[in-house]
Amino acid sequence: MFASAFDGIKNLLIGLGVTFKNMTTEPETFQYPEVKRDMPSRYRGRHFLNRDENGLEKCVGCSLCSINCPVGCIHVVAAENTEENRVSPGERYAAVYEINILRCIYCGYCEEACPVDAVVLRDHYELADYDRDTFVLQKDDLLKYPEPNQFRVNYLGNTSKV
Amino acid sequence: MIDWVFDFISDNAGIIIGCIKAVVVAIVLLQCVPFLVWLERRLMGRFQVRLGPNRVGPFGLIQPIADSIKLLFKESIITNSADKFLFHLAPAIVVFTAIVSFSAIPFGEPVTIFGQTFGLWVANLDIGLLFVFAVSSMGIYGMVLGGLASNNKYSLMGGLRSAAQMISYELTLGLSALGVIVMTGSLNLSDMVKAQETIPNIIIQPLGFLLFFIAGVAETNRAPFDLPEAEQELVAGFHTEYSGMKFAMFFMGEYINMITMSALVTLLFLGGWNSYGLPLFPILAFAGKVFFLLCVFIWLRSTFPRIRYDRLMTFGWKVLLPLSLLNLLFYGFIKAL
Amino acid sequence: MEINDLVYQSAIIIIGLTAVCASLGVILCSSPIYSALYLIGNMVCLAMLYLLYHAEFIAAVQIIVYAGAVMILFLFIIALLGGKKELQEHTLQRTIAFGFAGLLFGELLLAATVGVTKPIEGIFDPVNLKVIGGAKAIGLTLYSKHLVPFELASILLLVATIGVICLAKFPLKQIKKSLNS
Repeated sequence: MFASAFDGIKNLLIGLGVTFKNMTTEPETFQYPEVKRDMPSRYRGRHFLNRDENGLEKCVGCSLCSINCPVGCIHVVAAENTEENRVSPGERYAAVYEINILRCIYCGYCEEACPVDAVVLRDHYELADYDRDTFVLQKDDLLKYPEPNQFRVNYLGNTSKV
Repeated sequence: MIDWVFDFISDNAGIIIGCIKAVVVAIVLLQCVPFLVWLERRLMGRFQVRLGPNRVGPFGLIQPIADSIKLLFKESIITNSADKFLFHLAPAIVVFTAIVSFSAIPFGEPVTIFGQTFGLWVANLDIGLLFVFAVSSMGIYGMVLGGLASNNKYSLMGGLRSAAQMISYELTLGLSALGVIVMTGSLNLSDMVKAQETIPNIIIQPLGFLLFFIAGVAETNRAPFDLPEAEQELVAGFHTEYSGMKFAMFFMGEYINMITMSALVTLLFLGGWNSYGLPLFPILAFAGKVFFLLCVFIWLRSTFPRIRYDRLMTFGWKVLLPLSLLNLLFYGFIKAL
Repeated sequence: MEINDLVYQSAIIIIGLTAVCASLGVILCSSPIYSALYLIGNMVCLAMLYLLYHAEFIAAVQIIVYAGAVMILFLFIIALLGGKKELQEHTLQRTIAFGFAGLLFGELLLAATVGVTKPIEGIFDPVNLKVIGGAKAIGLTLYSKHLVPFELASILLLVATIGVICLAKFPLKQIKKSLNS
């Protein structure tokens, strides 16, 4: 009985020691609005559509992302490329490409399904807004990005720059 | 007219000074609560390797004030099936008893200012310790009535638990304090401090200190003994139905009880305002010890998980109570020799 | 001094009246929770009266034991049983009880008016009250003059406690039987 009691007290003291040690270590907190976290490369945040090196859209309008989407938040309408109006390197391109990111569960199936690495989920997590309409991303929104949109997902799911 | 006022003041100086002291102590005590909430949140944060509130004001010091303003402006919801009178009465009892029980606690030797001698206490009672126990035991009614009046099964469970827990641990609290009373031969708290001028009681009675402190943590319903408001099982226990300022009053009561319990432990076992050679003002020594104990309260909360209800009762009745009886027997024997 | 005396006397009268009202509330209230609350109020008033008569120790003990512990158990039971309001019916027993209470009250009144009440002399003199009300004085008398009755009472309480445990505990044989079968 005494042995178990001493054992219990010892364990309690060990617990207290652990929390005390925690107090002396540096806090893990990121001071969010000022300091932003570098998200891991596999992080699945907001969607983007890529361009290739010639500045053409990569998307060929095959709708595989839309078919694969478990919640059905992607809407693609394809159109034929012509010589005068070449949007993508393939035969067709996406005339309409909408993603409802309120419905999206950020599973990343769309980027896995894409045969031409056109759609990627990148590390942007600040998605809040005041207006509901802004959450249905149009093709222009998805293409709009300061850097050239040349990202691809490798077989591990890491999104990286080509 | 002015003569009459002066006569009145000089005739009733004792009463007037007493009233002023009571008001000052009550106000300071109430001001300690937001600071303590801030301290708890910051320290808990550090114990859990995070920062705690640091946005509102320097180091987040104004956070509790912002919180209390929020609580003041919140709607005070009373359920239809609640007993209105008791529902209003319960938080008042908690805060009232918490403040009154602090009134018997001395925090320094008498000081002389302008030829007048002020005792640094509201009331230096001959039965000081018993008074604190008596008034704080009345504080249970706040919780039980809050639980009863809410007409909610979780609240009722919380109220019943608090009653059972407080009764069980009050015995240990009283019996472990009896060891000190036996050695001191007085119930007066400042006499007890005087008796510890050379060595504090914690060195003479380490077991008594441990028992008293554990029972004190249980009496103030702090984790790991926060069974009455166990969030995971009882939503929030006896104050599930309370909102706004009435909820804040329960909060205030708990924190004032924490301060009172720390002050009692300091007076009984840590030598009160004796600084043992350190160059400190007596009142600062007292405040420092109380502050340290409050930090220990928070440390315990952030370390230990809540114990199960039957274990709580077993621990109280089968471990703490016999130990405190043995402790009392031992020191009674020593005193008799 | 005169004003202080007046304040003292009026405090005693006010607290006494409150105690009487509270005890009336105990029997007249239909909700058991409120009855228990009135009883607590009555006990607190009694403790205050003890304080006013310089019996500090008794006052503290009154609050700790009766108001703090016993009444909590009362409330505990009421909370467990639901604490519903009780209907008050006019029955024969009720009438008899009223008559009996009236009779007792009349006797009390008679006793108070016929024989003039006197302060007790000896060590219970009002002058000595400040000395004998404290914890130390009570302890001294309890452990010197009244030691034997005190110890006997404590043994009686011990016997009662052990008796309760014996009565409340299941007999071991029964448990063993149920385990085997």
